[in-house]
Amino acid sequence: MLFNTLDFLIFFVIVVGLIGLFKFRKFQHILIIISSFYFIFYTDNFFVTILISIILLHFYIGKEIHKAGTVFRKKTYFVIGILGSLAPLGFFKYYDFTISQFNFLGEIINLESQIPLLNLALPIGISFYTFQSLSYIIDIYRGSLEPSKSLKEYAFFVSFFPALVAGPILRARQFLPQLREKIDLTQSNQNLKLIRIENSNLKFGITLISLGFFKKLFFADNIGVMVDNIFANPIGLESFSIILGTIAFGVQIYCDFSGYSDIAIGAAAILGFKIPLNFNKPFFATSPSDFWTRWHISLSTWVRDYLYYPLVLKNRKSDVLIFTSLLISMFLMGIWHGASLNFIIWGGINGIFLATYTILRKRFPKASSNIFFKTKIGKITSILITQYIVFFTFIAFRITDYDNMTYAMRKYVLLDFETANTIEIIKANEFSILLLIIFFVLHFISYSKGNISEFLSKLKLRYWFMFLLGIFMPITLFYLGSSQEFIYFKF
Amino acid sequence: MNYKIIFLLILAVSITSIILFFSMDLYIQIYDPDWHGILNSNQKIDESKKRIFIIGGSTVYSINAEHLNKKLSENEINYEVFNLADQADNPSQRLRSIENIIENKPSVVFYGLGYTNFEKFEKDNSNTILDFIYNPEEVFKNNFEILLDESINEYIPVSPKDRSLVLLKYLLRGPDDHHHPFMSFKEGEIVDLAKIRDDKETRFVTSLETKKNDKEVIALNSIIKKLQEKNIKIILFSFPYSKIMLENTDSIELENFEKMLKDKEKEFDIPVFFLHEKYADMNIWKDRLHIANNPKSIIFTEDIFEKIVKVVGK
Repeated sequence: MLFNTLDFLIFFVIVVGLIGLFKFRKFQHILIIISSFYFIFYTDNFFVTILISIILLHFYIGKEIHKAGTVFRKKTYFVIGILGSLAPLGFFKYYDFTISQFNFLGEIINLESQIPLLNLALPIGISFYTFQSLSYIIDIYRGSLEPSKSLKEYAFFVSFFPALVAGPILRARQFLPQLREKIDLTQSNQNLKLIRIENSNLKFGITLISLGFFKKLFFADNIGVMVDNIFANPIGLESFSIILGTIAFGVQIYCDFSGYSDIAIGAAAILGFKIPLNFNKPFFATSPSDFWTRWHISLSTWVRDYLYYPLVLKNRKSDVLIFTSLLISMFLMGIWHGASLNFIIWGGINGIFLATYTILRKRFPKASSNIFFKTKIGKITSILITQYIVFFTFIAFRITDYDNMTYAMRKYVLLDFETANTIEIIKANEFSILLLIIFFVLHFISYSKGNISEFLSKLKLRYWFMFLLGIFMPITLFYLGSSQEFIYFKF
Repeated sequence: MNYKIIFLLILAVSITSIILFFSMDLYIQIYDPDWHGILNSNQKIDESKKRIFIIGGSTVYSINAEHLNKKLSENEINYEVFNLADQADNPSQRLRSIENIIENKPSVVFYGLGYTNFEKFEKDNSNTILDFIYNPEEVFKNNFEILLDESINEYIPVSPKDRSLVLLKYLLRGPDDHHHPFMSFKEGEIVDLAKIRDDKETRFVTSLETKKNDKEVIALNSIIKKLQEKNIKIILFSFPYSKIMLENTDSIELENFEKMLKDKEKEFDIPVFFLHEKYADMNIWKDRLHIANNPKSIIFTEDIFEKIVKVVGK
């Protein structure tokens, strides 16, 4: 069920309506859990059993890890939990890719037979809810989280439908306390709270959902038309055409995914739950590491906390260890997106940039605190250099064909300074170009003004109404005419 | 729950929808060959020539008006052709803009019609409870979205973005091609028929609504009457189909379509000619429904030229 379809709108209105009408906490929680399972079942049918299995496995494994008397028992349960959740992900996402690599090797050494591929469909949201539930048992194993006492509470957390299929990846530490009844401002008991649809949350949620649709339907889908035209056959294109396509794709994927996240955060807000931001003006990042604190924040912090930190824990002074740990982390982040060469390359390039930057910063600590980088020009220079690198990595994210990808990368780096075809492309895509300009203006405004959605949701009703009209008009008048899938639904 | 917030949300959605529908109506009212948009408003066109309008759906857009005008000039025929083809056109859609066409005083109107303009869409309501349990998404789409799409398509037959952009472009600077105002007349490649057949799922046409009380037929009658009342000559022709379409069309329904057009010929005393099978086997197609806008496909335009000469003479 895509967020940008009529199906979802009807589903969401029914769920919110029932929650608002029947103020019985048991009913409300069971309704949301069943709705979340139905959300998956609606599109993915009996793949919902994978989600249910992971919930059951981690709920009981979490308890066992917590009460294990010996380190060995604790470790055994932990390994069972990790393998139990990674097995379905590995099977559905990476089986065919791995087998095709074996077959490729077999061809090289002239093996006559091939292992058949299974052509498996990827269960929706599996990458997201697997990571979400993994963080739960890792935190229990580390002793930083008490296991949930009720299966209902845990099932609610893992299956919560706004964040179920494409994140943001929730953390139990942040989410479970929100489910519980508050005793006072700082403490809560184990009872699940009554869900109330508060006016402020409703207004904030609708504001965010509207902005999410605006980003997706107005910007991402319309800019995507130009991106598809440029990258359908990039070989032969000029450098500036490749750069234009790359920038457009960067904006498209940002609007697509952050739009999705806004809808998810807004839907959760209406139900009274706070989901952390997933994007924070990434195109104003001043360094590769700054970029990863602003882009897909829930995944990058997950990788940082559960992969990178444990890898460098033993020796934070070793450059080699830092370099390889960052490289491994980003490589795995790449492969998390999909089992294909382009995502591996994307992760690898990001890893190299991030690791190089981190080592350089460590070696030359005075350079980053140089007065130049504190001036406006210094900051703009940092932003431009960072974005040049970031957009370069997007080439690997967008182009799956290896030859096309390397051609585009070459042209991006080694400029040919030809402009004839680029002018033709601009002329043929005036509307997309106009949208790019509008996007960067709005992005700058939201960067300089802070939390725009918070500000908009606090407007007086009549001004808020004008805002809604202003958002809905371009959405409907420039709607492509068919629902385009969210890019991150594939992951 | 604050009902003011919900009310304002619903109001905003309603106002936006009304404006959307209004803008679609505004779009189809721009049938003005003098139109050059705000930015080019000082340009004038030759008023001495009589006008021929070609109307119909995207399937007649590949009639090259520039080529026709060139040939008309060469043959010293004092007419100017405008191809007013518009996406997803059918008689009921066209009826809404017929007054605007009349206002622009054409001497002759060629109206290209196809049997697909009269197609009857039947919903598949045969879902069982088991279908609903096993495949709720499919059942929802079959029963709800198609219904909704049909009613919305009455107003918005193609992408709102395309309509809005065309409208904006008109308002600002007029159409790109003066003689093809509603669809961008760019040259396109011919695709081999075998490839076209492989590329998409087969589309079957099994049922048409061609009886005299059917909606599209009534609309067609009104169009003819309104044009004749203003002494505008109208010529109907069946637009071309590829053999991929014809093979998957019920032959009895095809005969019903031909009969319906012949009935109009007698009823209104107007010329009717048939092109729906003429180019079926030729490699001149862009896809199964559209002839490519390509110099190698000029035969369609040449045939129309012959018909124009027959109607307006020298």
